[in-house]
Amino acid sequence: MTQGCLIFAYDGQIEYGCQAVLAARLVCKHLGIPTTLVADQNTVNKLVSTEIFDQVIIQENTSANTRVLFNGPDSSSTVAFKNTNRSSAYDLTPYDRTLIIDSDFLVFSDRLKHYLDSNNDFMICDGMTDLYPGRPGSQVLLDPASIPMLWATNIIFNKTTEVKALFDFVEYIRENWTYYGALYKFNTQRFRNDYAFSVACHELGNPQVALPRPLLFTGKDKLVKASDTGLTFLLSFNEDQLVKTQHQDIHMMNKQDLVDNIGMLSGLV
Amino acid sequence: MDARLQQAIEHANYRQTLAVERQRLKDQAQAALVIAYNGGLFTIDRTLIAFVDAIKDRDSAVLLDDNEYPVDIEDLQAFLDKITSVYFEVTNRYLTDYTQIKQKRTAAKLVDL
Repeated sequence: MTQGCLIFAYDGQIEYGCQAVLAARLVCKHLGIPTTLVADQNTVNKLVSTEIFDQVIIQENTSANTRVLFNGPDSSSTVAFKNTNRSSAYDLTPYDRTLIIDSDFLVFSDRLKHYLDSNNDFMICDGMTDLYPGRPGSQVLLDPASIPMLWATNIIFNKTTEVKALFDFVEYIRENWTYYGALYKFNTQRFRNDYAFSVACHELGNPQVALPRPLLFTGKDKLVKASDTGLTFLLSFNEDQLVKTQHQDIHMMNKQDLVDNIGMLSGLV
Repeated sequence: MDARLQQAIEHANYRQTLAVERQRLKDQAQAALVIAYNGGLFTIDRTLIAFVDAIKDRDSAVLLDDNEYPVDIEDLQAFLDKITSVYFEVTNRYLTDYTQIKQKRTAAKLVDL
């Protein structure tokens, strides 16, 4: 059975392609599995090298969302991003057992390898552990009157009929986004993979097994130092606070900061 | 080092940073204690080690993993060796890291700046 990692990256105002290269290098270093990039031609053209990837799959994605990104406590911007085709991962992946990660998910441990080596057909995160203990936001509902949200940041799946049905259902939810928004009472202004997978799992009787919770930090925290073993962040919460991670995977949601520090981070691998 | 970072280091609460770093080490150790074995996922703790040690003379056994799925363990001694080895590897590293942060007396040193 082949194992591998799939990363989606579509450049917009934020350069997701270079994030994906970094993420792939970290996956290769800590998990020892090949990585495939799914991107549009424009994103691939901008990359200096794609040799870290086992394969590059070109898939155009024309529908863009917008989101507010924070970069430190005093800076934010609204940027476009394309993330609506994750349901195609099942058909695109060249592997029997696939790990999907966001391009801003940085692997610093081998713990996901253990989950790849298990037999569970579909695994997804059911929450996040915040970098700063006690900060709210890691376990959320789609709406106060709705179901718990699953995080599509990490997904592991096998190619089975049941999993195929789940991905097909995610695509169906995407096509009927407004209807499911009304049914599950969430904001339909922009498409969210997290919501689509949460609803699909809920409607199919929760076939998922929970993945370990990676660290999350809010979009306002800033990276100040990187080493082989982990990262040090300046938190913009309460009073200024420094936090260091060590041998822990992290979902670095401050994407602008990630791009700004891509040179420093690339030096690690 | 920019002024904002310098200010953060100067004003960071040492005990708060220490508490956060202790929590990080705990999370790290807990994550490292989860292993895959024969397709199942097992969180290694004292209970699992004691249980497997108690039944290791059997030819084989079916154990329930973290998700309550049955996993056939054919060589219980090998499984015991594996979980014991990982357990002590992780706890020894935890102790080393924990001892190191206890000796650091400033917030900056705690985060290796």
